[in-house]
Amino acid sequence: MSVTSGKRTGAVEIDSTAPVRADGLSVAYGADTASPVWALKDVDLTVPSGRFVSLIGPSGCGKSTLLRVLAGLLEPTSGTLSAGGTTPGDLRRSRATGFMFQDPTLLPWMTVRQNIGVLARVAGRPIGSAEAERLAELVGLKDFLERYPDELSGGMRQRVALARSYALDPTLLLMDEPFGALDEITRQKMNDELLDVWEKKSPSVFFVTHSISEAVYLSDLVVVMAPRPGRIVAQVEIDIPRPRRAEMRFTSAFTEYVGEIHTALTEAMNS
Amino acid sequence: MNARAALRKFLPPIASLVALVVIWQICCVVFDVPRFILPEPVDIARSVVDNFDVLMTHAGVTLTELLIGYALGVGSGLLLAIVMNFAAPLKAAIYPILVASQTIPKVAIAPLFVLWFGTDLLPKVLIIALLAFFPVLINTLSGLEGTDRDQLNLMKSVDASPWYVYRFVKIPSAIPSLFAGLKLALTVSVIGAVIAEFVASSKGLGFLLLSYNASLRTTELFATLVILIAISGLSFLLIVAIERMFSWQQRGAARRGGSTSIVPKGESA
Repeated sequence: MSVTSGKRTGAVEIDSTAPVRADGLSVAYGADTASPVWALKDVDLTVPSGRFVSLIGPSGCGKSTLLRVLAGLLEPTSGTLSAGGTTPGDLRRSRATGFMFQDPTLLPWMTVRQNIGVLARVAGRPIGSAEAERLAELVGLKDFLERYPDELSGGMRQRVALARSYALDPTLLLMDEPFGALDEITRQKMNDELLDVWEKKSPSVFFVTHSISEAVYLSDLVVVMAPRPGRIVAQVEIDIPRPRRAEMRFTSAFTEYVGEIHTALTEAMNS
Repeated sequence: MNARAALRKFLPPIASLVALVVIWQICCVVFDVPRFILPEPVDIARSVVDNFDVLMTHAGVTLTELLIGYALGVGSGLLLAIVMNFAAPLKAAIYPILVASQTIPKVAIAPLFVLWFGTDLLPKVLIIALLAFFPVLINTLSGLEGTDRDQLNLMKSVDASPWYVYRFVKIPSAIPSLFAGLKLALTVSVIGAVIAEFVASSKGLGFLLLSYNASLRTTELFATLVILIAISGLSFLLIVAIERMFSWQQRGAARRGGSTSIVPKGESA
């Protein structure tokens, strides 16, 4: 198991309509030892492109590992994973994968404008200043383009990170608890903004969260995972119409989904 | 920084410095200290003015040595830091030796340099470079290695080339510690210049110090020291000024001091 790096493949065809598909995907830490730890074991998952998928489960269930494999930052020990009609590694090397961390990870020496554009620039598809302004407007930061990250609040910084991911125009957008450090009010506001942005141009999103209601609110599909070994124990399709509105959190359908996932999670914890 | 803040910051140290000089002057007069032991500040000042041409001629020599030697030391330290950060095996091979070599008192090999490179500019430049090299190397390297892992992962997530990783992430994040190294290197460079001139030279401020000392012209010796202090002090301020321009941390600190937060109310910071 190693981090893929190095060779530019360049000529890989990205098919942004291809599903994300995992077949018998397993990742073991210490695979060559007597007692490997299975971060993921025999994970099968097929998700059509352009869906919003949340991964939820107790710590150690492998959701962050799955995200890292999807990002092409980690090679599976066995099994296969494909996205965008190719391997995650090729997708990353084609700079078609956006990754958002819990920490916004802005570069403190760059302005908001430069931060928004930096990944696209590194990826060889620099965005013009009009595009940077459009993205900033999309996340409500048009007046802050020339500011530095240390002048922004936590929510604003995460919005910059979102705009930066969108500047890449990703086929696959991976989000590792991006709003985990925010307070509840800001978090709900960010959820709505994320959906606004996502609905304009829908990449496939994999969103790791600890919040059941956040998962239900955002997703087309909630994948419930369990630890030791890391595996999928339930897949819950969320059939709530879009665009989602804050008041939908109080409908009975919403509550039922939350209950269903809660039950699956409780079983996962006790198993 | 506005004028009042500057005044608040710089007035106390300047005041105590002036007080010190005044006490010095009073002591010399009251206790009638022999001039060759401790000259009066007033005489030293007069000597600086009277000997200004001589002092400047020698200062020019020392300054030249300093400039070339410092540039050489800083340049090679920077370059090697980047190379070692880039190529881990190379670092493993030479870094321990470089660290161990720092136990050699470099001043002690100055006479050897005279033997090898003569008594002109070259041995002085090399000793200064040798002294300036290490603090720049160590600080830059630790700055490069201290780069935030998330920022590196971010670059990796778009398969960034090493060039972009250095340009956008590693070098900017190393800048604060690079400047710490530059300041340290400057201090040791001045020591290096004086020592190198002590060993063998016929010009420069170090040479001047030695010859005034030998002829017990203590007042002129102090005047030379004043010029030497002015040179290192002004160069230090120059580096601080450059740091203000380049360092994002300094910039942030200056701005935070100057204006209130612009984070709107109701938004969690």
